[in-house]
Amino acid sequence: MEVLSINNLTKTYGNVKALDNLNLKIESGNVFGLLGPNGSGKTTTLGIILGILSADSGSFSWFGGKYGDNPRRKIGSILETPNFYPYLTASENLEIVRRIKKADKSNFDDLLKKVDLYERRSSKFQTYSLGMKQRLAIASTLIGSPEVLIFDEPTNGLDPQGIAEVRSILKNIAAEGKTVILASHILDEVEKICSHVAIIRYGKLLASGGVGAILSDDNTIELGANDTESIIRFMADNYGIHKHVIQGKIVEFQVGNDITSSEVNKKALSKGIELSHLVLRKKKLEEEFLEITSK
Amino acid sequence: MIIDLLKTEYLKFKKNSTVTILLAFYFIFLPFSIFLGSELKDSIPAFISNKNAFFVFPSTWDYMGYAGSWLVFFFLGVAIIYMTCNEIAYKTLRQGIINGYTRIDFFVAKFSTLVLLAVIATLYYAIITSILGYFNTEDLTLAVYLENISAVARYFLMCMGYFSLALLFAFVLRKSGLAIFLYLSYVIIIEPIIRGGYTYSIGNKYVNYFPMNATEDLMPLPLWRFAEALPQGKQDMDFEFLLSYPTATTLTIIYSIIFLGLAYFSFMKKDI
Repeated sequence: MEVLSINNLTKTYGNVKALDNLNLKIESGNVFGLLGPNGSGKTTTLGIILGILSADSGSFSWFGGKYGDNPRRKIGSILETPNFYPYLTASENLEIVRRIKKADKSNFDDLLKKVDLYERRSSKFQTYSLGMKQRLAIASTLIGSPEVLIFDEPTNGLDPQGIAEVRSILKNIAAEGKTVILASHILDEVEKICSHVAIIRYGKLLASGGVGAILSDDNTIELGANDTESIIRFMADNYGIHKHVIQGKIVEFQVGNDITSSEVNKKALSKGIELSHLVLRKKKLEEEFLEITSK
Repeated sequence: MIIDLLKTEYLKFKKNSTVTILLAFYFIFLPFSIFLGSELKDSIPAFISNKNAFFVFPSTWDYMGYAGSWLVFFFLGVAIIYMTCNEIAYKTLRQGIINGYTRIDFFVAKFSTLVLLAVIATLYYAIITSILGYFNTEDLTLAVYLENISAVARYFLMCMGYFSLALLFAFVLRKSGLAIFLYLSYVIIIEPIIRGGYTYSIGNKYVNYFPMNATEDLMPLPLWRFAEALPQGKQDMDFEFLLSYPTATTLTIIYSIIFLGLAYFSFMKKDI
């Protein structure tokens, strides 16, 4: 099932184009990394799909539109910083989130234990360290068991121990089979946690696909045809490649360096498969990404 | 649904010290304005026969209402701004929308808080004034008690007039310091200057129709009414000191709707 689809989203701030015709599709169960350097448009994208920013043009739709205009009660999300009432305790803050989400009553004990804040549940938010604030924010996203979780740079500004804690919590959440969107500028983080990734820069989509395909050393070939099954069979029979990632009507395979696109095209035609889409991507993406993110 | 929003608003601010103090000031100072009344007792002009006008029905409604109008304008108006702007400063407005509020939910939450606060402030005024009048009025009858009871409705409208201006400043300016400063100075300084300029260049006609003047005239200093009644003053004036209550009421309702509407549209349009 398609959880989120973003179509031609554009947003400008003055004469800066924060988003430039961005297209993205996220399927249910994906742990989707939104990878890009700071200022690439990740937070702007999330802000628009979460209803706090308005796009100049383009559209997006959550859950195929089944929750109407406001699907946000089915989404758990933090954007940039953990935002809570500083003079209220963890439990009081979570209660406000619960009321807004219209979730069932709870004492939040399990939730607070999950993020290791149970002992400090009665302390005011303003007394928390940044790591604790971030963990409380993660706890708040889980209220009402949302179908999708969105984390925006959740390890930003944390010390190594805090980073390790947050990552292990995120991994546990991902392991529960929830759809997760993780925006990050850290390649390593996305590689370790995510199953899928989209790389954006200057508000443009550079690439998207399975983490293996996008971030590996091998070349990637994208094939499209009316019958995706036939492509998968074709690749398995002719090249012995079984591993693939389906992106809508397009299937991605990791292939060796010896395969050329014209050869694949010819072979497919000879087997009676008409390819509607054929792109061979060299492995340069990771290098390019490392280059743009390294300072 | 509104009850739900109000409960959430209550949880948000019940432990906020600034809001608590501002509200407490209103509740403490209103009964204390009796002392102001007894202070003024000796300076009451000679033509007012009853030196106890401040404490007895029906005039106590006007005097207490006037004292209350300053407290409402100051403490409660500022509290409204504070409760709105702080959600922007703490980014809890943003988070609230992300968590599932619509912008309309948020606006309705603030608006109903404002109405509830006006209701509570008015009830408190009615209770305090009733107690004050009850103990000081000689020959108290129900008719005397009810003679000026419409002051309660005017008090409520007066609250709405100030609060809707406060909400407009909060939503448009977004920073609580700036919004509070401009709200206070608009009422005390800026509008009077504009009115002065208006009188100077256009004349006295309709000068009383400015928004905060209309709101003030719902609960004016009662002495103005006496000044108006003075025969010799009236002859060379081409305007009234005060708006009549029906005019002030109508204007305040219209202005409140305009202010709340502007606040709403400004909020719906902006990125947060």
